[in-house]
Amino acid sequence: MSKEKANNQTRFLVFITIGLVLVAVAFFLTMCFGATRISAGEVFDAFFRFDSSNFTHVTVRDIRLPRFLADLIVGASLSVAGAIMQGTTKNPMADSGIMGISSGATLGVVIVLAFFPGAGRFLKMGISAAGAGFVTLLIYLIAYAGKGRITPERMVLSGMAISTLLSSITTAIILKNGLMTQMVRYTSGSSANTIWKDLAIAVPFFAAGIVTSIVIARSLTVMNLGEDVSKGLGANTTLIKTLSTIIVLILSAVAVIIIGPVGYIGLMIPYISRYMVGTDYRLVLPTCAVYGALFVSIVDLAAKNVKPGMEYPIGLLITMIGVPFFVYVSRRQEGDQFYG
Amino acid sequence: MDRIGRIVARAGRFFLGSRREQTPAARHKARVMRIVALAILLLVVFLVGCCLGPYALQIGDVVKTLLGQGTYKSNMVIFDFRLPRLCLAILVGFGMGASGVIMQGLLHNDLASPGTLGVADGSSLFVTLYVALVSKQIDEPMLLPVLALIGGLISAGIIYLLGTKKGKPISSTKLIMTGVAMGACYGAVATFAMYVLDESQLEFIQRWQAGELWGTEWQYIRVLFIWLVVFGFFAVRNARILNAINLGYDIATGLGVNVKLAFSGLAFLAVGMSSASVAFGGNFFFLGLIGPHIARRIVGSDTRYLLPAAGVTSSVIIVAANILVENVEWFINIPTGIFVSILAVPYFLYLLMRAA
Repeated sequence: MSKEKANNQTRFLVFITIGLVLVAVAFFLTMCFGATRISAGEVFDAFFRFDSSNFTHVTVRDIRLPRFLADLIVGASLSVAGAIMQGTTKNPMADSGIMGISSGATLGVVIVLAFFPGAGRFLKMGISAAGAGFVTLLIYLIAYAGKGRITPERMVLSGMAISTLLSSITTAIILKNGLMTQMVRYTSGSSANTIWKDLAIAVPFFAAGIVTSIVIARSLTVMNLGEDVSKGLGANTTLIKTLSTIIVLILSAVAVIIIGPVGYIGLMIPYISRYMVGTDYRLVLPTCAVYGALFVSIVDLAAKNVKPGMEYPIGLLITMIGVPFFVYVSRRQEGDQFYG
Repeated sequence: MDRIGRIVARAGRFFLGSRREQTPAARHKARVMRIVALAILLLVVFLVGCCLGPYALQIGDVVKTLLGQGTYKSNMVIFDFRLPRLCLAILVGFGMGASGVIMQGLLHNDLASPGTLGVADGSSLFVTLYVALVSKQIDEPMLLPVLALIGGLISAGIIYLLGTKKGKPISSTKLIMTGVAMGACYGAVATFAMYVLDESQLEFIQRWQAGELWGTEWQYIRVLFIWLVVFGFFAVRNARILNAINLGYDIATGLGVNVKLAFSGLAFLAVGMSSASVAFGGNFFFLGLIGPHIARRIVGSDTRYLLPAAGVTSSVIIVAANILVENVEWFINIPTGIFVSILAVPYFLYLLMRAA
């Protein structure tokens, strides 16, 4: 046991280092490549010898950098939220997109666009976070009301039902108010229009969510052994459950307001992370954060550069990568037999 | 065939049990009466639908017009505006409801439906891609259900391939999970297609995906009607085989059913009916799920009664949703499917919670 633990810790250090190096590589590639090519020297100048009248410098600082940071934040948030959800709802297929949390946030955004068109960024983010929060609470209510008897499949189906309902309402409001083109961009998921102001609002919440999750990581590992065991070990399960619900809510909302509804990251990255470092949340959560950030930044890099000048929405690209993964995970699950 | 039916009926009685100790004849009569009651309900909703809307009519005038003695104005209102939409709604309801019954029976799972299995999404993706990329105009009404059928069959095939494992029994939950995921994937592909569309096509596709009764021209309705009658005929003829399969694949084999053949045949019928409904009525996601559920509560799970009952129930739901869309001011011009979802999702969640 302790040998395995030590082994996992070594693996953790190795994988985290590799991950961070790759993020750094992604950073340089993102700064250099895009609609136009910018040489490494100019990127360096933009950071250390900034000249506000130089268009290239402004591009690097105010377009590429915030977008890259947005990708990192979104990837880390969604992966950590997914990992926590999977642990606390005992559902290996939990993910904020699949469970319908993103659709709640989208509905929030549409409500603001339709009924409070003059609203500021802060209100917009607040209402969409409220939408995400509503769905998160609903999901946890369903999960806890079933006392663990609800199978992963049924949780996924209830998530699907919730997102169908909310996106129906979203469509109704869009059609009613003629917001079609405005919304297609948003609902397909893109970080292209992120500006520093968005990040300034999102970062404190993001940081709070990540830090709290790492603080409670040990309790989450214990909780995973089963509620009775963790009570026996003296853990305050109610507190941990409440805290983890709030973390999931905050992190999902942060991701959704920056990028729009994106699914499957919270499914894929934790799955891969557990494969790399085992099941201890103290190791899993940081791994998730790094590799989630890496994944989204690479997909965004690809989305910008496959066909320069034409942007593919990364939400759609991620869905196309995520669905096969989802099917793979679903195939590995033991089926639940509830009928005949 | 008849003997198998009798054995199935007896086995069914043994396995399913009867609510009350009744003779088969009395039970048959009770179930038929319930279906008649449902049909009367559909008639009432239909007449209400004829009355209400822009240019409201009195019920007497509606009946007179339907019997061929209307004024010029009432003729126009009924035959040009109301009737096409209502007929389309009823047909779409029938198609989705019957398709849902077959899918739930085949997979032994009350969560199966054209929507949850991703078959309806496959159909609508095919048709929308055609509309978006190949032809902006649909001149040949027969082409639509055929395209939708191809799309539906392809997606059913994909789901079957991905959702089953060789040498293992069919797991319906796996199939449904795969269906849900593939539905999301088709949605993403459709959204990519949206990037090449102009505003009006965009709106058309959004409406379609939310479930909009759009094919309200008599030529479309005629095609849909014939299509559903043909497929429905075969479905009803094979209802007893479906009953046998519903008892379990092994039991069905024991009863002399060629399960593989019957499974593929019935799956084809189910995909066919949902595809045609999707082609003209858009994607009514939950209709094929809740219609059969409600009907099962009313007439029990014998497919011979359940097929018509589920069809009628789904039609009642969609016609009622349509009345809301046509008459409540804020809802006007909103796709009908949205109301079906609003109605169905809470019920669906309740089902999930209860059965866990």
